[in-house]
Amino acid sequence: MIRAKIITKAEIYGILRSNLKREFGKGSCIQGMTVTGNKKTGKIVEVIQTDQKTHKETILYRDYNDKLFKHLKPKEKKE
Amino acid sequence: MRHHVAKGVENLNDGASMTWWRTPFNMPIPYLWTNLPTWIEGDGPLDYYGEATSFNLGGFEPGWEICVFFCVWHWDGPVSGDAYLYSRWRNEIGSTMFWCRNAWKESLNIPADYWHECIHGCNQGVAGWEVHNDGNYSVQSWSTGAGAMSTKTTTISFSDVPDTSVLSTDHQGKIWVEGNNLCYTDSKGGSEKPGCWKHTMTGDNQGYVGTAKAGSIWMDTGNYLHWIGKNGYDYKARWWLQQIASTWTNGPTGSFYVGPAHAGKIWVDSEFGQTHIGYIGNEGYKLLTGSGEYYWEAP
Repeated sequence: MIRAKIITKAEIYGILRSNLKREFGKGSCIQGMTVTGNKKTGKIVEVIQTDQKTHKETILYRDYNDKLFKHLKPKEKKE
Repeated sequence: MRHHVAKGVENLNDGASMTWWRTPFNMPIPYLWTNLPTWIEGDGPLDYYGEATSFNLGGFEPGWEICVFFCVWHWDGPVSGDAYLYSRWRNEIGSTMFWCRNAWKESLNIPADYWHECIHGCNQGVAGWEVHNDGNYSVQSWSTGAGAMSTKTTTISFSDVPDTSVLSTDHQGKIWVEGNNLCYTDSKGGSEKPGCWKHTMTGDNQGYVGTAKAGSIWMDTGNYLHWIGKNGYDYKARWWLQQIASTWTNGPTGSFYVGPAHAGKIWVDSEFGQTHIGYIGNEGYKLLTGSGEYYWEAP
């Protein structure tokens, strides 16, 4: 059992500051993504998420065998 | 376009769940999208819990979430060019409460025989600047530019909405045992609505300890908060969750770690929605709890 110790705001920041190396999300209220599908095959061919702040797109999935992307090659993963 | 207004969602691919119904404001959201390509046209990769157009808020506290609005825009190819997406919550007199998407640019290059969808979501809670009166609110969406879509409006009614008036800022951040419940005043405030709300946590009765210990608060070895009620019984909080960064904003997903030397320290938190309690668990991680319900499961 650990007795709770109620602490002040200044103490909170003192505890957390040393570990606050990254900005944590503040619980904003928006999230989204896009997807493209092939009507003939019925398959999803691409899924993209776009960063809400930077608008940078991240390809979560791409079917490189689909004709839409067949001319592209997937990036090789670095070990 | 499809509208979904629901109490919560579950990812169809991996079962990750998030509930907004009766949960503290803006709690961390698990990663709801996966790279597995399961997607239902008009729904996205989600199953919607408690999808409805009317919500009774009996028993609610201000500072709790109610529901989430997802809009799905759909285009059939061929469509090329830039589309601009709009979606918003409107209050009971038709004014914009906040935008979910406001001229969000979606560059389209959809060949014939392909379709394309875009999904965005935003949540809604009880507060003076959100749902604050009984009435007919609404969600609305449209798009301009390539493949433009006309305005779609879905009326969402709320009843038994609790009083959203606030206590003065002097009362922020207090924690105490009142009767047999653990109460606290939150740290919600700032320029938009200075003040705070009182919250009440009800616990599960763990047995009689004695009235001499009434008012004590502690954390057990399983990281649950306990308190002794006025009646001398030990009450156990119903939930806690280790803080991660919410993936709602594509943020980093690490956890706060400060070490077990700080275990048992507790405060009213000013991160995320500011209507919950933060404390350090036995393992040294920052944990969250509060009034209302646990949020990483179905409502």
